Amino acid sequence: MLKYIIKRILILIPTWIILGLIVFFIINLAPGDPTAMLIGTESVGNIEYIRESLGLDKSISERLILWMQGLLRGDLGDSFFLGRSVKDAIWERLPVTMSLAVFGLFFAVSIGIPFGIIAAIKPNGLRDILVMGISLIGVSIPEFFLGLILIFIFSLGLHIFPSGGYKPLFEGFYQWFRHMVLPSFSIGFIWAAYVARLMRSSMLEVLNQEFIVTARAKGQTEFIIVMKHALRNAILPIVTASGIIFALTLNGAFITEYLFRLPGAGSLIIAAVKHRDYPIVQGGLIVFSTTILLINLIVDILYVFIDPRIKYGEKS
Amino acid sequence: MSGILKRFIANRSFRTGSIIFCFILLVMTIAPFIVKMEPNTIQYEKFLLKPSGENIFGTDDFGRDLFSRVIVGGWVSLMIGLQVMIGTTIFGTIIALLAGYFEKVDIIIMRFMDIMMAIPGLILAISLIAILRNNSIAVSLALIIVYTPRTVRIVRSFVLALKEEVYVEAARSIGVKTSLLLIRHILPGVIPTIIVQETFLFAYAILGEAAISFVGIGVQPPDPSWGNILSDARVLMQEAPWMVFAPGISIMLTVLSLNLIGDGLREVLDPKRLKGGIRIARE
Repeated sequence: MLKYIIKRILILIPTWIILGLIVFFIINLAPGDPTAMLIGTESVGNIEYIRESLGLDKSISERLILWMQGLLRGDLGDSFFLGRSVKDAIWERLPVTMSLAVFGLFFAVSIGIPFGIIAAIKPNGLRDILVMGISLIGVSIPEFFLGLILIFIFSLGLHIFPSGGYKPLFEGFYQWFRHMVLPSFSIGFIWAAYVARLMRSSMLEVLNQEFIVTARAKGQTEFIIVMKHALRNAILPIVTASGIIFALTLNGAFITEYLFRLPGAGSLIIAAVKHRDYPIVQGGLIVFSTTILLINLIVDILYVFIDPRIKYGEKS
Repeated sequence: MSGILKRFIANRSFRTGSIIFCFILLVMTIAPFIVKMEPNTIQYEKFLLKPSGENIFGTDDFGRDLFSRVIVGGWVSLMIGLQVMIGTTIFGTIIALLAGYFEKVDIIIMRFMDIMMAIPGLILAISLIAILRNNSIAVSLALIIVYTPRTVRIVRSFVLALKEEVYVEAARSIGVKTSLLLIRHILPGVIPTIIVQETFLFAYAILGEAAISFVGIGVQPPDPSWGNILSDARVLMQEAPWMVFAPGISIMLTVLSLNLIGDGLREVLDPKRLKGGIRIARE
């Protein structure tokens, strides 16, 4: 088992290097000259100067080497427009995006799992149809449309939550919390729908197995059967999927940041794409992909502890 | 053939989904013949009108007819979805057949696919669009690049399973050429999986396009798409809520109908095997 974990961690290193290469090539195959965008109609001499200061006069292979060297040192270069390093710009805005994604994941799991169980207890019963119906809407609605509906109801109509903007945590928990509720709920609800469906099908599968029949035959109450015997097995697919779900809530976080005008890394990258501020885009791709690789690593390692049936041998 | 058709129609999800989807297509096809489509005609005297007989979805902040914009924009969104579906089917299937059948390339291809999947889809898509220029073809291409690895992963797992089947073994033992083996004997076996997967993918692609255009990067104004109409509506929520609901509900209904069709297809096309397949695909 320890061997598996070490191997799993070691694999991350080449994966990460290849990721760095892929991201570099995605961005640097770009046609068009960002320097021209940067200074507009100024003189040619200036273009040369700025191109040199941004390192765009170097050949693509030189830039690749510089990028990879920087990456290994944790240096992502400097922004074209913000006049500061990419690392600082993203780092400063990362907490907003991460807390949105974590909150979203929290909503997804805490709503999705109980409702999935409720639906699975009596398949095709009234509660099942209701839960499945709502979850079908959940998997079909875009998060920003849900967000707009929530703004319409809770901020324009009832004035309970603000329609956007952000207050940092150190300025007071309550204000921060009020600004985070709607955005994270609009992400969370969509993935709660997905979790509920996954939980239901996994629970149904477990409830049909022989050890559950045995438990029933022994006269165990249905509550104990579901919560004690079935849940532990049925939750495994959710654990496996939680890495993917986190990646998807992160994706949702970028859009909700834009919708709710939150100063997160997602809105930074969206703005950078519009201005062709390539270092920021490049850095953003790396930071978020690395986060997802790390999450997947954690999920894989957790899985070893949760599911002892799986033998981790030579085959991976 | 009529047997399987009957089984499709007997399936509640498939039936409901198909009815909704056909209804949407019908409205979008017939509407231009009944109402004159003027998605880009600016009429300032018609600034932000509520839905009425003349403008059934109301007008936007340029006085443009919202119904025309939703219909015309809907075709843009659906066409992008369709292109992405076709693109991922072609590339996804070819790559999956190669990776699933040839063990030597499998590791390289799947490692690469895993890394591509670690990059958040939306950010990857908008970065690619920034590079490929802002137009609807770039949106389709970007989404194809984002979604192909996801298709490959699922289809490959079925190719892996089929490769071990006795009939494939038999065909190989009598000396059937590898290319023929892949096309004649393995490909037909993965077609049900591809059909189910691509139906869901059509839905994801519509959601993806909407998200990209919503943040102002995909389909560019004045050309409408469901996503960019919503993007315009975002700031006018208080004055003109109808601008949000018309495109928003259109996206939701379309995606919902496709999800229902996908669920139905999955239930009808050999449920047991597909269920097993999804379990394999997850690992």
